[in-house]
Amino acid sequence: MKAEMLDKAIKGIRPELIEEAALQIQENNLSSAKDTQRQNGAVSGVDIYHRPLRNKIFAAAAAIVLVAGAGTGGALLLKGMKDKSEIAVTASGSDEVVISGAPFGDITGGKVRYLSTVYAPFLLDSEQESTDELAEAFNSAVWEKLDSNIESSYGGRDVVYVSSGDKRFRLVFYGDRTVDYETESGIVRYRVSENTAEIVRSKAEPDDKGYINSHMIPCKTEDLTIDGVWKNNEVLPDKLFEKPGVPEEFKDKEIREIDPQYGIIYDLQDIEKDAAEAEDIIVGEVSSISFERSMNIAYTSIGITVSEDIAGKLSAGEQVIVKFSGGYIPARDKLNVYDMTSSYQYFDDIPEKDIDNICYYEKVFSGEYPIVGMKYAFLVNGGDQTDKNGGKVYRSIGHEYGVLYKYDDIYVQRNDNGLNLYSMDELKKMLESPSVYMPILTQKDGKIVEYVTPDEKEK
Amino acid sequence: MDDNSIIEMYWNRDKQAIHETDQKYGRLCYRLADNILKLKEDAEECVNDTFMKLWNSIPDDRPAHFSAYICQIVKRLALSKLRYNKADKRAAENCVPYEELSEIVSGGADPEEASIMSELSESISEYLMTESKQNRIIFVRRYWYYDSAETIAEALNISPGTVWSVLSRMRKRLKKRLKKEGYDI
Repeated sequence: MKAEMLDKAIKGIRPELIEEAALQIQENNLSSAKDTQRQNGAVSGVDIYHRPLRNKIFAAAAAIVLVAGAGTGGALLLKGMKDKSEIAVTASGSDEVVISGAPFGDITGGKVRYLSTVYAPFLLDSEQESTDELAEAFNSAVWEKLDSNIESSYGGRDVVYVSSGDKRFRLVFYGDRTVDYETESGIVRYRVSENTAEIVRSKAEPDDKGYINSHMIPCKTEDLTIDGVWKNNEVLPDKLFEKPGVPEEFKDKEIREIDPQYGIIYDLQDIEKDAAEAEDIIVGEVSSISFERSMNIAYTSIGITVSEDIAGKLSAGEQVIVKFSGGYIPARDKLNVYDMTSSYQYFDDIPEKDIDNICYYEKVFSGEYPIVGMKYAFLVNGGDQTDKNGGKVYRSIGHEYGVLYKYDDIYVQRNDNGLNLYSMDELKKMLESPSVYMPILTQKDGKIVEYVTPDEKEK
Repeated sequence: MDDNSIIEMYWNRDKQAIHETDQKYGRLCYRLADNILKLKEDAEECVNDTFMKLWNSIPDDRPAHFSAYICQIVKRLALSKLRYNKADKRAAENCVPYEELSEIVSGGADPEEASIMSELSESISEYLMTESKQNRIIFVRRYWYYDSAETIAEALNISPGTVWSVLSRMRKRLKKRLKKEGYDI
């Protein structure tokens, strides 16, 4: 058999296989500006040839007229269609006005930020290359001008904020491909092709790349305006928290990760509940991370250089410690207590000869902690004890969910639902809310029992 | 718009069907035509011819896999146009990776009966169904859509070397399977 025959056989494979690949190509094509230009058939100074489809259809119609012996009528119909296809603004069959090229001008070289319901109120800062691709797609698109009084039946999906030269505006893309072009002076409504809408969607909702912190800009809801979105330019750091490095004393040990099972009596991810339990909010820069153990419990101590203290007990520049559960603890320290209760092998079956070569990392929730050099707001209790350096020692409330990354005057909480933004005023209000629970870590016979409410403790 | 609605429009002789097809599958068709013809104007012409063909053929057909149906028309027309342009039946060699396919075959007799070709197509399909989705897509994109390894790699976010490696292993597996099934390849 020759390769040509095999090629023929491959040509005849099941249609579902052809369709499967077609779907993948379709998905992939969405980002191809070259193809978009072809699809939309517009001219933007690039050598892309497109014979408008309608010409082809009407060419056939014209041919029929000619065959029927109507003389030049068909030829005139074809000529007329061709002429119309080449002008930039045409009246289509209805009252709609069709515009080739972006009605707001070329935004190549400009700046673009996206807002999507998926990650609002964060803005997704577009890279220049991606912005220029978008500009190319906009320039190539056909913009059908619509009556602005007709409401879209679909909700706003993606918003594109543009700052290009001295122009600032936003484009609100709806699910039915209508687009509101909004400037300070008003709104003009257009409709674009599914391809153009899809390009915007793929850029505004980049599900393949995820919502990378290094492209996200927090924005207050009240600043989601044509000008307001350009107030901040700093993107979020790649990481807001990280797992601390192995301390020097454990570097030559085998590190085993364990997940201690604490009884939690309320949802720590709920910032309102955390704040209600907290007595104070300390804002400051992380200066150090160290690890301690008390009995068989590992603690991570975060050193903070205070910049603001809501309770007013600390002054700017003061050094304090906030303690968190979890962290590194030698196996012997961890297992000794369990040995007393005949549960020595609860975690591991470690022979005596190996026990001093093993260290546990108690991973509480994500196992990540604030990063040295970055600023956060900490929900805390305590402060009545001091460390060896005289710094006040606080207890973290809400663990990592009670630590908010400070971005300008916005505070960013990370939980399983993503990133949430708060102002200090909002946090203060939460802080003033009456406490529902008072979680207390208790031990019985050397074992962590659980957190209990004050009422239960009294019982 | 979903495929059934578009097909319904063809059946109702609604010219909007062409527009909707172009919107949904225009770029896919262009890409395939361009892979074969390597000339924008020809590829454009081929896509437009495809839509004309669709307009004329759909009242008789109700394709279950619309995108595959369209792509088959594009491919047929593009290869036909290529042969016409080059006035050479072997012009397809420019786009079809015969060299790679020749690793599977070894010069046995070509099957003459259409039924055998059809069985062979089905065997290849069955083989592809045993592969992972990604492998299937790589194979079909390379040998059906004639995409380059670089294009496939970019699309799947893998390296071209991985694409070549997957294709090479798949060719070997396909050859083994076809031999086992008794094809004189």
